[in-house]
Parts: sequence; structure tokens; C-alpha cells
Amino acid sequence: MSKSVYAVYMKGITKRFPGVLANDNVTFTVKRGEVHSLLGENGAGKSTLMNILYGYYRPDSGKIYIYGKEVKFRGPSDAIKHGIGMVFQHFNLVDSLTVLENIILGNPNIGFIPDIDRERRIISDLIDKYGFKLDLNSKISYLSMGEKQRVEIIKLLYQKSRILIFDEPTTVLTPGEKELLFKFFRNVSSEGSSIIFITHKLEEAMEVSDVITVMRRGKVVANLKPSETSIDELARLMVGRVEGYRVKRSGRPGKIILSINNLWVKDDLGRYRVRGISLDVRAGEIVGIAGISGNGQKELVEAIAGIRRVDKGSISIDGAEVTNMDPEKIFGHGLIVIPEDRNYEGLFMEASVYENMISRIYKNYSSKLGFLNHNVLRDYVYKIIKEYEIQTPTLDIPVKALSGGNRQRVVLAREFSFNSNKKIILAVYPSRGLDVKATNFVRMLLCSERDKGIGILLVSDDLDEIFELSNRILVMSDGKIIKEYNEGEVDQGELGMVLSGIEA
Amino acid sequence: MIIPKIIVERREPLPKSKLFIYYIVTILAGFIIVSLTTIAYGLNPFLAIYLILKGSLGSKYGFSETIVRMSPILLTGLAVAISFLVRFWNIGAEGQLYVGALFAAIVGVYLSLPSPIHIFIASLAGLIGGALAIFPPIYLKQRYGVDEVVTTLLSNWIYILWISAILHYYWKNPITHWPESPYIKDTCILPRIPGMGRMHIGILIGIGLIGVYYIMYTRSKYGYELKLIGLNPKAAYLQGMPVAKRIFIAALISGALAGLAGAYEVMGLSYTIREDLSPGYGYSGILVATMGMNHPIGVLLSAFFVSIIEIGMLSLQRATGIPYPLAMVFEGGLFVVAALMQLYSNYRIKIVWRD
Repeated sequence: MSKSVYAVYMKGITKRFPGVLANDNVTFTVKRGEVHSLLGENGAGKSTLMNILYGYYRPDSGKIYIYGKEVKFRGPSDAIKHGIGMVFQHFNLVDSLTVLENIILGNPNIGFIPDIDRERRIISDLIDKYGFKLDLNSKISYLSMGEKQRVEIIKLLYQKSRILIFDEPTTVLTPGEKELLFKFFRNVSSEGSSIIFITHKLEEAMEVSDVITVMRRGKVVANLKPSETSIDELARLMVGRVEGYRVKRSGRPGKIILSINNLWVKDDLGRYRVRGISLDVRAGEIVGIAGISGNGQKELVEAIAGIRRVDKGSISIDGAEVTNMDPEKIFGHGLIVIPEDRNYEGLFMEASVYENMISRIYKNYSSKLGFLNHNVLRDYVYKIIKEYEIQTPTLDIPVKALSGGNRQRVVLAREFSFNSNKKIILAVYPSRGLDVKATNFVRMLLCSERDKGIGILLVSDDLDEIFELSNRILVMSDGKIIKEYNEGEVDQGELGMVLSGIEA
Repeated sequence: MIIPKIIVERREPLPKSKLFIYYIVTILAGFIIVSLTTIAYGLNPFLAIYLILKGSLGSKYGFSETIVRMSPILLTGLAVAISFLVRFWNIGAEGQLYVGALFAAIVGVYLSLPSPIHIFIASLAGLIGGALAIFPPIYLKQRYGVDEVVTTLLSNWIYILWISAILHYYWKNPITHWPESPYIKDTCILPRIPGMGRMHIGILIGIGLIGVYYIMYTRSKYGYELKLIGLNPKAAYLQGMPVAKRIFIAALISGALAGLAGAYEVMGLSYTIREDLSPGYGYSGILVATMGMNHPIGVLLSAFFVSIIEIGMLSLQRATGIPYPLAMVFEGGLFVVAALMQLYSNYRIKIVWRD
């Protein structure tokens, strides 16, 4: 077969980071007009490989051919010139500019004074062609995550990218938006462009791809067609061994631990995002809040944690009113929070593992003059590091040197260990961005806390997670609870349908 | 043909101890590179370094002058380090130094007290003056979110020009008729260290304060809180730390220590406040804190290092005629090296030979 069939041909790519062999002699090919899924756990090397293709990293060895021609990229701008475009998980958009301005300014080939009217026509033609609903004049800051992603896609098409890389694009999407994205994949690939779809979600890879490449620990372990494989096989290839994935639900829930009554909360712009929510969480049960991000979950969570003002209504923990209290006082009533963004809300990335582990309890181990008892604290940290199986070479390396899974373990270990009085856990997207092993660990941990009689309020946009863990499921939309299901009253498909009717 | 290929790549974070050594070596290398500027004056850079070291450390006089220079720089460096630790960018140590000097001079001129008490009260006045001087920027930052880099930087000129106006029009020395305050009373003068020239006990107090900072930094919950608040204020708040209060206090202490530096210049050296009391000790403090990575030992070493450069350059000027302002070029160059070092200590540079 001649090389030119391949849009991308990466041959024998090796990339070594200090202490890690991120890509080990990887050969990866994508044909023209192909939707190609790149499957693997976090740390499997898929992002490294794609960053090499996009010109961010230079490989230590190996060759890259684009449409049969060997290339050496000195940076992303070289890759863009060769028709490669990438949609990142974090969007590169300017919030204060409009959609049109973002698309035009994002194009490196645009002249010094662009002909705005002509460009606008080209762009709106592109938008119509793929059925994206986008208002060119609205500001980026008013768009949902799904819409922002579509802006990014149009940006790439507008700069004539023919090889489109998507890094975990579905994590931010509603089921309906996901369908639209997959339809776009098929449309654009039928026109001869190639799609590389990075994911760790097996179902999605099965649903949309022509070919699936599975990576594990820096190596390509399989290259298959969806018709020749099954989800179980993919999971085995990806993880290396099959693990117990199901968790047991517990028995009878006890008394009401968290009670929220007719809660109204505003966002930063002064709009009500939580509009009269009432809910109860009992001891020993997990209540899942399903919903598309941006329907007031953030404001609800922040109000419960005491970092956002409650305008109306009340929150009480185990009978004690905690509405509009300082976070520290609410923690005293037994609240534990697993924050949404662990890197920026939960951790001090530059500080050491030790310093991160003691931030809840250091006050209890300081003398009157404020001296910390480091001996006792170290023993404590060693103990919980063992208990939570945190893998770290020493206590003194910065926490940013740990993997995502281990970072989340640091957060969980710290939050679950400090408070002997804990009654309610607020778990916000607790397994977002984690690989299968770490996700299992987090879910098992939540279940074991539940079995100890602690109430858990789980906020997640991952339906699998909601279904696997929850005793009750509440559906949140536009700041209200619109549906409530007990265990077994709804199946995943039905809930998916309910959610797809919700706009973010 | 074999050609070298330079690769820049991310590295694992270095352990603190290793980072420190690595860092000192880089700073010294930076110093040597910067000394190449002396070639423009027809002077061998290594001879220049030799003369700098000889002038600043090679004699008892030189050494004592270096330490005299070090006492205010140590205090302003410490002041800036404490505020930088919580990411309150206090660029106004220079102005705070002058206000502290003014307050100490007022106490020194107008109060009559027995010596140790007089010194104590004047030091306190210096601390209070510096704290008052930094208060408006802190308030504006915490109440209205005004960027403290702008307010502290601009406040330097406000305070220095105010004091200049006071010295020209209201508080001129009646004996010398210079724009300087009357001389402070003998009871307010800092004792000198016997046999060490102009060296006064300000340096001992400075080193003592570094010791206090060291204990706070490594052992106490306050040091721990300040470090973590600086790294991630949002997470610190969510962990239940009193973020705004700690930043407020750290910034206030920062201003107070800069004020103390000014007070000791008046009480230990000039015995009066002049417009040109400080040749930029406040700005040197920024260099000292940055080079010392806000760490107590780092601040101590870099304050010593910066004093060597300044005194050495003065001696170089006398010996060879190379103008003293070249010291500022050195300091600026070192600042850039130090800042880049901190930025790039996450990377390693590899040279690969291949054909």
C-alpha cells in the first residue's frame, strides 16, 4: 500500500520524559476520510502522541508523514500549515469577543485587514453546512460548553484543517450535543477529512469510529475495527486486566442529614441560577444530581459549601441551620467537599504532598505560639497515605508531580480523614478525568463511606457514575429539580432522553 | 557531520535543597556573564570580579562597609519576601522606608528619653511609619481590587516627594540650612559594633529578624498558611484558612520592616533624614527577595551578595574609574537571571550529538 493513502503516518515515535517513557516506538496511521479513535487510560500516552502530531513536542526518534510527505514540525503553527487542527479540552477562546471575531482572529492565514463581510459569509456557510446553531454576534462568555466547542471546530474548518484531532471532546457535552458532534464526524469524514478522536469512553469509541487504536503504557496494544471487537475486549486491552466494576448498593437509609429548603442562589452576574430547590439527603444513601453542566449545579454546590451567598431559603445539616455560614463553620457541622476542580480548588500544586495533606488538620497540631508538631503530622500523613494507597516517592515532592488519580487520592485522603464528625459528603464530579482504576477507587470509597452511614450528595454529568452509585436520582435543569427517581425506576436510556431535552 | 541538537524539555520538580544549590551556581554564572560588560571599559572581567571582591571583602574597612550596606538591604529584602510569599507584590519598600525614616527622625529629634528606651520607641515609630505607608495600597487591593503593583510603585514617588517637600519647606536643618532634618539626639543613636568602623547593631537586629522569619517559615502554622495562601488563595480559603486576614497582616509587616530599614539608616548612619537617604534600598530588596526565593536563608545570602556588588562597585569606581551606576546594570541583569531561573527550573536543557 502506498503511503499516500494515509493522511497521518507516524512511524516509530519514541518520546521520553524524565522518568517516563511516554511513547515507546509507536506507529500510528490514519487514512483519509477515517474516524479514528485513540483509546487509552490517562497516562497511556495518547495525549503525548497527539501533541507530537500537533507540533507541541518533538519526538526523540521516529518520523511523521502527512499525506505521504515527511514533515518536521517546529511548533503548532507548522502543523496548522499542514492542515492539522486540534480541539483541546480547555478552549482557546477570548471570552469578551464575539464568535465571529474569535474565528477570524484564530486564523493565522488572515491578512492584516480582513474583509469582514466576505469572511462572515464564508463562516456562516460553514456553520449552515454542518447544521451548527451558532450566532456569530454573541459573545463567547454567553455560550455553553457545547457551543464553545462548535466555535473551535468552525475555527479549524475555516483555517482549512483536514486532519482534526479532538481531545476528550464529549466530556463537556449533553447527549444531544454529542449526537450532533458524531454526526459532524461522519459528515466531515465522508468529505475526505480525517478525524482523530481521543477518548477513554469505550461506548463512544465503538459507536463512532471506523478504526480504534488502543494504547497502554506508551505502546499501541491493538488496532481494530469496531465490528471485530466488543466493549469487554476493549476494556481488557485498555486496562490490562478486567476488574470488578460493579459496586453493591446498601440497605435502608436513615434519618435526614442534609436538608435544603426552597433555595435561591445567584451567579456572579446576579442572575438566579438556583431557583427554589428543595431536597433531602438521608444518612447512608447516595443522592445523585444528574444534569447538564451549567444548570445551576455549580451555584448549588457553592451555596452548600458556604462560598456563595444564599438569597432565599435554608440549608441545614443534621438539624442545624448552616445557611450563609463561613466554610470553616459548616465543616464543623460535618460537611466534607470533594471539589469540582481538584487542581485549583482542592490542591496546592507547587506545594509538597506533605503540605497538601495537612491543610485540614495542622491547626489541631500547633502549640499556643503557633508551632506545628511536624513529627506527629508526618506520622499521620504516612498513615493515611498507606490507607489510601497514594503512590508517591517521598512526602516532599510537589503534588503536581503526581498523576491525576493520585492527586484525587490526596484530596480524598485529606478530606475524609480530618473530620471524625463527618456526616455529609458533597462529591462534585469526583471521577472526572480519572482513569478506570482511579475511578473505581473513588467510587468504592464513596460506597464505603455511605455504608458507614454518611449521606452523600453526588453531582455528576457522567450518567454511568450516577447510575452506578445513586440510591435516588434527581434531575436538575435551569436551577430546578424537574424529576426525581428512586432506584430502579428509570433506566439509563430513558434518563439520557430526559437530559437531552435540557439546554445548557 | 556531527551536529549538536539542543533540546529543552520539562523535568521533574527538583527537591528544595538541590534547587537551592543549582540556583546559587546559576546566579554566580549570571554574575560572571554580566561582568563581561566591563570589557567595554577595557577591563578584564575576571580582574573586575577580583577588584569587586577585594574592595568589598578584602579589607576590614571594606568588609565593615559591606555589612553597613547590608543592614538596610537585609531588612527591605525581608520585607519584600514576606509580601511576595503571599503574592502581595509590594514594590513600594522604597517609599515605606522613607516614611519609616521620617517617623523615627521625628521621635529622635523631639523626644527626650534614656537611650535604650529612646531607641526602642524610635524603632517602633519606624515600624509604624512603614505600616501606615503600605496601608492604603492594602486597603485599595482588598476593598476594591486595585492592583497593588501599581499603587505601591506609585506610592514611592508620593512619599518621597512629600518628604522632600517637608524637608525643603517645613523642617530644614536650622544649623546646616540643608534640606535635611535637625540631627537626632544622642540617646537615639544606634550603638556601633566596636572596632568595626561604621557597622552598627542594625545588622544584628536584621539577622535576628531573619532568624524569627526562619522559625516562622519552617516551624509555625503561620509560615505554612502564608506559603499555601500564596500558592493558591482559593484552595486555601476552601480549606478554611483566614486568607484575607493573613494577606493583610503579611503586607502590613512587610511595610513595617521596610520602615524599620529607614529608621535604622537615620539612627545608625546619617542621624538625620535627607532626600537621598536611600540609594534604592527598597528596590534592591525586590532583587534580594526574588533571588532568595522568599526563603529566609536565601534572603540572607542574597542580601550579602548584593551588598558585595554595591560596595565592590564603589571600590571599582575608585580604582579604575568605571562608573558606579554599572552596579545597577549588574543588579538588573541578576534580577533577570534570577527570575528566569525560577521560571525555567522546571525545564532541563540537553545537548544531543547526532549526525
